[in-house]
Amino acid sequence: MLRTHRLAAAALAALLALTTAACADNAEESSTGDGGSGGGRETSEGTQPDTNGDGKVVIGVISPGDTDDGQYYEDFLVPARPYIEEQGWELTIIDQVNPADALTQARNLCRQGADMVALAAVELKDALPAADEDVCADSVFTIFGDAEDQLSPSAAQATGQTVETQYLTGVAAGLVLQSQGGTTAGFVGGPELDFAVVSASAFERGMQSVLPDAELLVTYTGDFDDSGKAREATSSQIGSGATLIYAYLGGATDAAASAALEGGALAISPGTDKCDDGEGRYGIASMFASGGYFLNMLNDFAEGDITVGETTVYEVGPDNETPGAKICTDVVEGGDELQAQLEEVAAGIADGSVDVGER
Amino acid sequence: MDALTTIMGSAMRQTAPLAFASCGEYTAERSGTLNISIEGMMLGGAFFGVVGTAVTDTVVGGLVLGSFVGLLVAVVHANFSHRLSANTFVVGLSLNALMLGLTSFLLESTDFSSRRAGVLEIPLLKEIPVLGEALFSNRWPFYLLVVVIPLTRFLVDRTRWGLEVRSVGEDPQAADVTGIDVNKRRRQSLYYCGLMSGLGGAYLSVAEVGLFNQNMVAGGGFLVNAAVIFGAWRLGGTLAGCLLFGTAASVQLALPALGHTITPQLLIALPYVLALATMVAFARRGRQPAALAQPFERGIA
Repeated sequence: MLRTHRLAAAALAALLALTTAACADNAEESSTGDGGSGGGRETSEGTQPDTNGDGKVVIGVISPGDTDDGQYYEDFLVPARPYIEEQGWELTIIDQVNPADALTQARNLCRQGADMVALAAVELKDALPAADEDVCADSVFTIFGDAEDQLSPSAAQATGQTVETQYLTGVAAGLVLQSQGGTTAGFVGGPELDFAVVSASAFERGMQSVLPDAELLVTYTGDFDDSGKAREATSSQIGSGATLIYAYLGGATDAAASAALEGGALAISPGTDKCDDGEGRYGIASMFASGGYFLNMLNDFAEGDITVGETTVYEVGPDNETPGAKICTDVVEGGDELQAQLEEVAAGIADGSVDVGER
Repeated sequence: MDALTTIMGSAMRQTAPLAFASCGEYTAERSGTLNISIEGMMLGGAFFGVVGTAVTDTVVGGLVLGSFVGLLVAVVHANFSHRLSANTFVVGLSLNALMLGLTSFLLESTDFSSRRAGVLEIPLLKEIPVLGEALFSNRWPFYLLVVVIPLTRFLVDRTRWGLEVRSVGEDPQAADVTGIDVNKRRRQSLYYCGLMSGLGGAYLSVAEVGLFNQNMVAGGGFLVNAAVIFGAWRLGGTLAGCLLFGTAASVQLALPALGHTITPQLLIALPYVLALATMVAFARRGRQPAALAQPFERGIA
């Protein structure tokens, strides 16, 4: 018994010592670094792209989703991978990161010599305070996604116009519903997060700008990747009369689109253009994935032009590019004519003559 | 399609994987094993169901391979718990974590074409109002329940093996004195549980969804544990518990589509809230197997 007590006391002492050491480390990390300076950020050792001056360039990406999901989160990296390879840089990816762990993972990337820490979505904004810590003094922070307000003076930010993009997608949905003779669309989302709610709301406004009596059924399954729930939610919406399903999901997008096709409905692809999926499941593409913005940011990084504390907002226009929306003309009957109407609305949004409503 | 038919159809689809696994867990618990690795068994079954379907190009191949992988997980669990006397809860939790990691890793390192079981409609019966569509127009593996449920009832309640399984769950010392190999029976009932849970997982991926995605069982294995408690360790009650949880999940997804505005977070939590309520309300109601979750070692009473 005595031996057991001694062992327990030794273990407790070791635990206390570790805790004390950990607290000391945190205090050091929490002190303010030199983030927030404007222009191409000069760090303690070097300049962009080799900001830590170790002779190599490491791009660290933190993503809240699965970067092999074949959908939105994978699309973030699709344009960037060949560019990074071409430059001879290294790519370190930490995916499926819970927002609560984002700050720790950002520090981990900094410790591992990341010259750029790229946060693939605004859900991970809690990682931004790391940009001001000593441990990340030699890393440039970037963040992508649906936030037009500057989230941190120490990070470069890129986003598309969320409300405008979703409004335009809603207009496309209204046009397609009108051509189908339908009046009901469905929106299947994952967790009920702010950006999803804002997107659903803007989408509904856009749809009702074409069809004032159109109804939008909104279901949040609680998980962007749960294909079973996505299928059931889609089937339920089709059972309630929806003929167009906005699969605002991640890894479960294709499952929802397949369920829509089986139920005789068309799906809207979230993030990228999936009109040519080969199965004719998608009738509309809502293009807001940040992969292109990330590529541009990398290009600026290579040239030493990233400015922290600034937000680049990509605007909706009639050019069929991201951000924006397009009708899958090969799938939707009379799609070319509808697409022309959609482009007129996109031009109206770009010149301000179309009011997309509250932001 | 009216609202009730929509909900009932969805409820049946959500209940089926739980029902397969619960037939196994019912048997395991009657033998005295509280098996918490069902989640891992189902997850393994779901992933390898897709693999088996892709490799053999048949849904049957997927269901067989999925069941076999569930059995493999059960073999590990059973031998650690009932041969090496490791703590069954620790083994169960470890297996769940292992299967989640393993299937996630394999998912990223492999690429399989998806295929889905076809719909089988039973003529005439499908026309029965409300229930007809829900019960008699499903993916064909759904109807395996018609075999699995009576088989489980027969095995546990009508065979000598079942009598021995129940006896080792009630009084393992007495069973041992009569010459029954207690741990062997417990291992065998776990094997059956693995087989059924693997089948449930494979049903989910191959019949209902048509693909595998990470952590796709999403807590279903734990709902099966709760269903057995809800059913007071009776097969009929256990299946009723599965139906309750399946219906709760379908209500979560169907109500918004039917135009009812209810806080999504509340709806998402509904099946799990029900599971907790079940534990509280029914855990002491039924007479659980007297030796449930108690390891057996010969000579230690």
